[in-house]
Amino acid sequence: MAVDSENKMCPSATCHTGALLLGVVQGDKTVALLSTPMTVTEDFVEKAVKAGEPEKRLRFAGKCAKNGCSQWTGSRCGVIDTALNYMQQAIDNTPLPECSIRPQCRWFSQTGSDACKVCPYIITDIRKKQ
Amino acid sequence: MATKKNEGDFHVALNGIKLSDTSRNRIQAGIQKVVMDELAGYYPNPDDDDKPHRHHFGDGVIVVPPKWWWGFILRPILQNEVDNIKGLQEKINSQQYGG
Repeated sequence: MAVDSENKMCPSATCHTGALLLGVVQGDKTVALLSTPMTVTEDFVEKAVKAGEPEKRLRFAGKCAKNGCSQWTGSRCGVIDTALNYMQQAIDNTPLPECSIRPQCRWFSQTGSDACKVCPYIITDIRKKQ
Repeated sequence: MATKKNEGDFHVALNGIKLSDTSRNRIQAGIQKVVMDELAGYYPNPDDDDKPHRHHFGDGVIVVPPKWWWGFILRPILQNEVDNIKGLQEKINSQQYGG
């Protein structure tokens, strides 16, 4: 699938003011995606950080940083390609989850609806690359 | 009172009330604030079935997390971790076939 590389959104962004709250990690370790996008405020960031490690409990969407992100391979996002390589079994017979950022999503623009099927299994890792 | 339509859908029926834009915006912002305040501190419902899913990523990418952390972590495996795993495998193999 062709990648329109401008103005795409990262569906695994950090918790920061202006990001969108995309989903909530459930007890079974899958992410329940919210169909209504909600903008993260400064107040929310403060509360979420205080409650502990928001990226492990919630998923956020933000502007795709491309070269500014350690997951960018030079031409595309490596996260969804890696996830798809190892989660082929999740793709079959799985309906698309409702999603508030699909038209702008970097992962969807790269790999189409397959990305949406594995997306709920991905939890953001905010550690810096060593 | 807000009614719960489904597990996670709440509806406030204001049918027939002609709201001004200001009022509508204030209600919308208020609902959003309450929801966001609640989700900021969200942890999974302890009553949920906590059985892990059986989806696994392959070697070199996924690291099974320590006990205190209940999610999968997606990151490249580090070279020293690869070396440690290799070392452990060699140790196990030598014990198994050593004598």
